[in-house]
Amino acid sequence: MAKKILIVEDDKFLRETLAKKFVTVALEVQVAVDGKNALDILKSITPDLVVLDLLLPDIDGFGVLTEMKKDPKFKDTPVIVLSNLDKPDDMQKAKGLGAKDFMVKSNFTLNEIVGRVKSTLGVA
Amino acid sequence: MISERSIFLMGVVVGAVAVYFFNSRKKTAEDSLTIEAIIHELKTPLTGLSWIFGFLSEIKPRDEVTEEMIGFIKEGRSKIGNALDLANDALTALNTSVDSASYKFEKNDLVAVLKRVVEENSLTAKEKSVKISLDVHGEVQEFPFDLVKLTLAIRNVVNNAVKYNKNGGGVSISVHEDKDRAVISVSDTGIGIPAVDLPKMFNKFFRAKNTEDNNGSGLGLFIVKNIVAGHGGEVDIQSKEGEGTKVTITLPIKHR
Repeated sequence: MAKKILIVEDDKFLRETLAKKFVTVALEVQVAVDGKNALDILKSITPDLVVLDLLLPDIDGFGVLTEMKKDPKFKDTPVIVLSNLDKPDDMQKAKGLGAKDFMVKSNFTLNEIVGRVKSTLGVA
Repeated sequence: MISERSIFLMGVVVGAVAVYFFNSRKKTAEDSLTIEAIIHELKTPLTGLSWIFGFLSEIKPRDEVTEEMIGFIKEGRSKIGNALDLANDALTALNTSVDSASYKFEKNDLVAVLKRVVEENSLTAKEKSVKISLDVHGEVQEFPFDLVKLTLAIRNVVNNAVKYNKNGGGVSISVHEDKDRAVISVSDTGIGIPAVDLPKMFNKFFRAKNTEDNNGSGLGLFIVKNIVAGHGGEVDIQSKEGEGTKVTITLPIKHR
């Protein structure tokens, strides 16, 4: 069965581009446009991995991480933060809240992002 | 002779006035625009461009041109537009902050400004079959304002009213004097603003959820708020999603 990932990204182009790219590597994709939307979606699905932006309207990525890690259902779900925040403080905070990985969006190509997601999921 | 004591007292009075003036404007995080915030916003279109060129750079000389490639090239152009809009609007926002010393108050004709902005928008409005009307109620006297900055604020509001309108819609602009104030209102029959987004419309970089398909920096109304505040005035926005928006600018008519 295809692995399921949730992409949380407020920029339409980045969100849709990521979604299309993940579909081409046979991943099942769900998207959320902001933090609140992500938490709503997580009530009905259990993804195998979450790609999470940090600066989001309403509830930000740190808030999503906090809520997720409180819920035993998502305690072990890997979260890859994909943000343009690049301060060590932000990285430490995200890791401290349980993020498995932190990628600075503008520093990676789409293929590199897909590669990291696939290796985290353990799929070829 | 001015004694030391009177100089000291004057100092205390000036200090107290300065503190009062500073405190009278409640500063919030949304009031100030930092270089760091601008650079962060610029990174979004630049990330898009980086991904687009990452994809395009993998094309080989004899590869067939696909719909996907064409789509990416068009998106790339749009991202460059986003970045330029952001850079331009961010510079404008920095130059029009309430604290900016660059405000030049001279006696000017507000009605002439409104007519000019209507004229500037006439072509775009015609393309969308949007009808713009300007109603001047009674006499509106000339009063001191910064011509360039206030024109920019009014232009931003009217541009929005045309840009976020429906084909065949309308924009009604009116101006009147109310005691010692000039009141300008711009009403449109456009897409409106979702109720949940309305309180955030003057925040920097905020864009309503129903504008994803239109480019914009999210600084237009932030600039308007700052310019109006720089004139000691107020700006109010009312809207109903799907029906339209009304922006009201109130400016004090006072001699500076």
